[in-house]
Amino acid sequence: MLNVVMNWILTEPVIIQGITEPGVATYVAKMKAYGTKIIAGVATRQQEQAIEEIPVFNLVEDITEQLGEVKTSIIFVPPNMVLDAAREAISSGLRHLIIATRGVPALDMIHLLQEIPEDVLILGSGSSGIVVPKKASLGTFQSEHFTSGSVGLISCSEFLTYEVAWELNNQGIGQSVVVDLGNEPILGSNLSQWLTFLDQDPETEVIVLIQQVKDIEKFAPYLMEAKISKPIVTYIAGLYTPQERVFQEATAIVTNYLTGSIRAQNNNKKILSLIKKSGVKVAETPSQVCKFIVNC
Amino acid sequence: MDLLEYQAKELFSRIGIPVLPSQTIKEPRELKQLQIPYPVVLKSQVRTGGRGRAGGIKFVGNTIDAIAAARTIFNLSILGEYPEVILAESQYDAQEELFLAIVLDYKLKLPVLLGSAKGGINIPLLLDNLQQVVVATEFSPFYARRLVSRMGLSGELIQSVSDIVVKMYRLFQKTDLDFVEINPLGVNAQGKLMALDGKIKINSYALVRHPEIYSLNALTDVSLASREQLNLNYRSKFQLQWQDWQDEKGKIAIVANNSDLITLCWDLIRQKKEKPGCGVVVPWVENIEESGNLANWCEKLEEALEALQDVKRLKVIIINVWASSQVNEKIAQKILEYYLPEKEKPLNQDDSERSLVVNGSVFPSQRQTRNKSTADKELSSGIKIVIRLADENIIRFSKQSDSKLLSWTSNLEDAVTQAISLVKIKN
Repeated sequence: MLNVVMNWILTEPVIIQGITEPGVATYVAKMKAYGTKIIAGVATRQQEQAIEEIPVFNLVEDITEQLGEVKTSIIFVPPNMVLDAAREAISSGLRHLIIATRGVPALDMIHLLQEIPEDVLILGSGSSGIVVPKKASLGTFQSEHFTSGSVGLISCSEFLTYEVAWELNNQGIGQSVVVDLGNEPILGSNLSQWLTFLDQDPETEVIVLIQQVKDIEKFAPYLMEAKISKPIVTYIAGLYTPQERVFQEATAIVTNYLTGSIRAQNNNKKILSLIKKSGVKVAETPSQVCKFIVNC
Repeated sequence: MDLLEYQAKELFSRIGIPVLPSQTIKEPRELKQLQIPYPVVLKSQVRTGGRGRAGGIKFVGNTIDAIAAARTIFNLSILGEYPEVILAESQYDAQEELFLAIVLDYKLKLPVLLGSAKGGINIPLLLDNLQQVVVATEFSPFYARRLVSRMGLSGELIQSVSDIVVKMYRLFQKTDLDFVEINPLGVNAQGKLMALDGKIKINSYALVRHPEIYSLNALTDVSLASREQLNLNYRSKFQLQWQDWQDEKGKIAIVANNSDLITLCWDLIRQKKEKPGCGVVVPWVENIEESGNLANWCEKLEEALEALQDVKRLKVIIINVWASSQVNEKIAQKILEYYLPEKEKPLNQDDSERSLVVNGSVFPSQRQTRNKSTADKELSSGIKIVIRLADENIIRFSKQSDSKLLSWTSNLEDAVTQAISLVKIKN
């Protein structure tokens, strides 16, 4: 299968859709200060010439016509306009979309994923974005918490990412790329795409996956089947915390609803041992991640 | 958002799925004006399941019986939920009962059609006969026929049941549903179909673009809908979120600006063989630095701390907040202000005096009075506070207070170790 992440040069110029939405200017200023090349913004509602000295256009098409080719857009429009914004970007030739907006209706995401061309990659919805420390910040991450180095982080949780990065930084271990897959039920890009990306990334030496125990059923197959040459460490939060089981599949959802509960079978131990068997190191605290990395 | 049966049926009827004549009843005496001929069935309108077994459904043949039955149903809680409305409905002589549903499958990232030829209340039998069809492309009616055929239906029913599935799918798509179910779909001796009970769950993110939901005939639900809408509203994002998991023996409370941080902290405490008591999220909002947002957030933090004060068993509160260094500074000042009595307050007097002048008031502001009394209460309650801020220069805050009440650290595992040793100190 074509891995569309591979073609993504993360430090390339980007545009911002929804640049005049409340609060977005603050993110734009931070991204810009971090060194991100934001060439233009799109706003459908207000007429403003520029935000943070970045020109604002009515259409994505106007940007590609006037400023030349651009591949990446960060989308901040309100949830029920995300589908439209993504379609517009794709039709104007953009190929990498980061959906920062949270709370996108599930059916909109499903439609979007069904209709996107093979060479389009969508990160999110509800993604804090991507940070290449010292080079570029695409999205809403508090990028000051990262330092540059050789550990690639893949996460579904903004705040757990900071916790892990904090421990890494304290040990003098910097990060090559930090990516947030998003924290919503339907996500555009999957774990295996980003594992492969980091495996090929020359700056990355070790890959860390930050996940929560409720997602381990979802992620385990990718971890076990991934053909990755670099060492992988996964930090799993919630192993000691009572959590409701989240059902992914239609029949499980219906069964659970009709019977009141599926007999709460806890497969976690089994899954954990399978993950460990496949060579992935499982950390139970952020500081353990460092210990595993030092031993890699 | 879950709809009640009668609201689901109203949506069914709008899209052409057959439902029985019915009437909603808000008080037993409304039954005197019942428009539907007896016998009727009275059904408690609650969201929890199992109402049939609990006695929430009664068949009645005349007004006197109906009023008595309605009184019983209104006073009957079903798993803690009392009905605000009863649905009075005609009876239907179903020869067969089918189960139909459409659900979002999050693993496949696609909608799935589900059906069972054995619908009704025998759940094991229903599940044994459950069939599914994944809607992998743009929906087309053949998907419905495929489901019905897999269910083993034959003759006229193939077309008529497929038509119902097609209508359910339209509703699913048009109204942004997470879930729609008809159980049972009654089939009478003449092969006529009737949706006898139904369940609809609307995607709460999408609710804002479906004003038609607000017009559903009911008081309770308008208020429910608007409450859910409020949750999407900017201001109410500040609502405190108390975590479901609690331990009645736990002596440590966790306060954080994101639920994942509570999970992490809970893990760390349990790993060190101590019991956490409870966790509360003071939710972070985007652009906390913008004026007003941080002040609102700090108010909510105070509210959380205030509430924890009343939890008798607690000995330690761990506060773990992730923010930029400027925001850390302000949050730390807020915590100092909240916990330390006036005389120890490290804020320079100039600032507070200036604000008094600006307010044009010569009296101490309400806030200061409240701070003082809280601080006194704090000291007497004996709850210690461990504050973790990811700040390299956190030592500056400990220097501002020599209080035994507060300890500061930038390392979360340190914070947990400190909290546990504080729990173990005998008062």
